[in-house]
Amino acid sequence: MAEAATIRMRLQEFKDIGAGFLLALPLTIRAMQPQLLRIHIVGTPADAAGFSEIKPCTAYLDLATAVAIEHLSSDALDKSGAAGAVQSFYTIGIDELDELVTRLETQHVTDGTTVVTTTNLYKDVFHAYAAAHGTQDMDAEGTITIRKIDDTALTTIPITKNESLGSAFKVPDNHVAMLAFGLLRRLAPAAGVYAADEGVRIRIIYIDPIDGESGMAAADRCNNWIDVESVGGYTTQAAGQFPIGQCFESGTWIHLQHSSKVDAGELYDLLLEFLIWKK
Amino acid sequence: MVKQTQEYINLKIKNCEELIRSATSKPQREIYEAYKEYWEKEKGIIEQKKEKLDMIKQTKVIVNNVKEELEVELEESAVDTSKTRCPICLEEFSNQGFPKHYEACKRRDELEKELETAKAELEAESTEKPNI
Repeated sequence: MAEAATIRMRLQEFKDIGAGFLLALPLTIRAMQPQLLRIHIVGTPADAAGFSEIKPCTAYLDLATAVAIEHLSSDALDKSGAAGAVQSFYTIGIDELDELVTRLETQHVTDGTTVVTTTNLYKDVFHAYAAAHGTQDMDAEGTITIRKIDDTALTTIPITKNESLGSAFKVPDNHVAMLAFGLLRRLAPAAGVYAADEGVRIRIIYIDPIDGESGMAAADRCNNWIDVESVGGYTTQAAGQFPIGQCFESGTWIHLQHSSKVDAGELYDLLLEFLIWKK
Repeated sequence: MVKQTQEYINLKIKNCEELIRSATSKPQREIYEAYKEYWEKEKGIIEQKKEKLDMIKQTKVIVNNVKEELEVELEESAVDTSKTRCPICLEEFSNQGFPKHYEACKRRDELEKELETAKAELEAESTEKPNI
């Protein structure tokens, strides 16, 4: 069973977040105008025996200094001209000021396969999604690659899609992230006698900066995780298992993994919301 | 993905140089310089590959020339192996050696005939009574 997942990652600014739970936050935090990072995934795990990361980015910049990146498509029609398909896209990443940002990047005007070097600077890129399309098509004609200057791909918007790979993110320096909301549902039970008793497991792995340092032996790492399970079809019974309010320190990487409990290919949807504010 | 030609790599190096010029901090410039270094290394690899390719092409030309020469020699040696029967002595000789033999054989045959004639004349003379 091949793994499948569509990931929608969005970053909302404080002014765009509906009141709701914000009102429950202390004034000191509200004063910092927290941002909301929402990750919504509909997926099917590849297997039941072990966990696999949910559609990760190909690579990460993970730099201390922000730099320009490049983007291009494998199809000339992903151009910003009126007759193009995907003309531009948003990236979600960390900028030169250690802020979590959404930035607009525009494809080459006449030929989508021509490399464009961004004027925006990034310390990291976690996700991308199409922003505008021309008359050609409403999704990508080719694979749009967002990459480093040395041509190492960071993430891609696959052909015929509007969303890129990438479900992990890093808490920017001098910031704190708090798990504000979590919901895991199985969308449909798989076929079989015990279908309704099967389930999905989601693992939120968080890696502290010291554990993520290169050169550290695997045995010396302390990669903690939070496991959340959903059993039975059409239920929301797992929602309460999310440790709402858990905070993650700056520099922490948060990766998401999934696994079916019994048979591979259990369809689920996962919604996570992280509030992120400057310390 | 764009093919990594020399032209493409030159463009990447040029791009890196522009980024180095526009770098706003030392660490940023160092990152771009590292990228430039990477592409210069790639350029070196491509040039080495091109040199190897040229060498292979040259070797191919040499091999073809040698092959052609050998083919000519083979054709010639094929002529040498065919034989011609001498109409005089009825022995077989290589085409190459036959003309020389034929001349010699013809001369020998003529000499033999002359010898025969001379012998016959001599015998005839010896049987005649001396006109004393």
